[in-house]
Amino acid sequence: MTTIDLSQYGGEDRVISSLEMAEEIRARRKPTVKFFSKIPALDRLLDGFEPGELVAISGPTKHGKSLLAQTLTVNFLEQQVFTLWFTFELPPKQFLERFGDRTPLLYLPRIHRQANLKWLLDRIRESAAKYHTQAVVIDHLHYVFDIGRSKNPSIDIGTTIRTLKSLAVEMELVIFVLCHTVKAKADGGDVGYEGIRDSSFVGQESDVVLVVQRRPEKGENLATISVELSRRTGVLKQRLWVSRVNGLLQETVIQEDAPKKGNGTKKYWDD
Amino acid sequence: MTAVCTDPEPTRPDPWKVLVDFLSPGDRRGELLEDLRENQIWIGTLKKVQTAFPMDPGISASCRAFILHHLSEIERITEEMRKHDND
Repeated sequence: MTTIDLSQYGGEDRVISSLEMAEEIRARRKPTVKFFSKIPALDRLLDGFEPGELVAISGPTKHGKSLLAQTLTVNFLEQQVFTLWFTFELPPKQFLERFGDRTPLLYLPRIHRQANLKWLLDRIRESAAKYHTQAVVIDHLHYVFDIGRSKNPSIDIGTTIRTLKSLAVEMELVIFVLCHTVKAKADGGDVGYEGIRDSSFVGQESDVVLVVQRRPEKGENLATISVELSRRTGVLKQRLWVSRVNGLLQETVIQEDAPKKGNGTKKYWDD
Repeated sequence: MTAVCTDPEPTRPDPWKVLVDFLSPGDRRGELLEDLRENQIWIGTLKKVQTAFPMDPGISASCRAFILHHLSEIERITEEMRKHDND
């Protein structure tokens, strides 16, 4: 049996004092480069996005989660921040058509492989190595693991989210994970992050949770983005209004008791 | 005294190249795709340099300017590809 003299242990995981650790952190400190949504109220609440963050974008089906992620992609591009997209739900043609005539520069795998976390992580690494992509959008979480074979989806989602968070920290990326909530409430009431399908881990492990919800009672193109939580800024359950203009979301100001606009509303934003 | 016009002759497309492009559109398309990829790789490289020297405003600004140049090149190439596809 080999005995190790632990008093001489010098591995990289050795125990050090808080003072040594503080010194190490000071020595390797780099200025944090944030990037912004360009939706002013959202940027005020979140103070932008920082590398290493995992952002969950949730909301009922067809309420604008992908549209918010598309808007962020275009607005990041203006800041020379490039995004890698995993668009499991839509074929590439349909996905790109959503941006209109002018396809913005973003990156995506030629072929998507579902229920394969290792493949997803490899593509994120490939994209960062080739194009230095700093933001990743996964649309949506339930395609990353095999829900049919999963004995406990909640645990599997938790593991997936934790793995993605570790990767975001390791590679200094911002990862946006889109996930469904339970159905929208019939009375149009707020859906909170507690309603994220299958897992409370999503809310617990994410740095930011946003919930997008259409508000047809206020106007055809109106929605709210609720910042359910932001770990860094400490914001909880603050919402802002956005409207869809030229295929992207823009901030708008709405009187909470504004009269209903238009004669009828589309049920969903499904382009 | 005879006045001499010193203005350079406006650049005309090379007729041979026009003919080649017309006869083998796939080649031109391939060239454009190659240019597109090259510009994308340049942008990735410049972003890496920019990120590696976050404290240096000079390097950061230069990278930003070069990235902007490559982005406009990409716009030009995609525009040409669109025209090429419509012809």
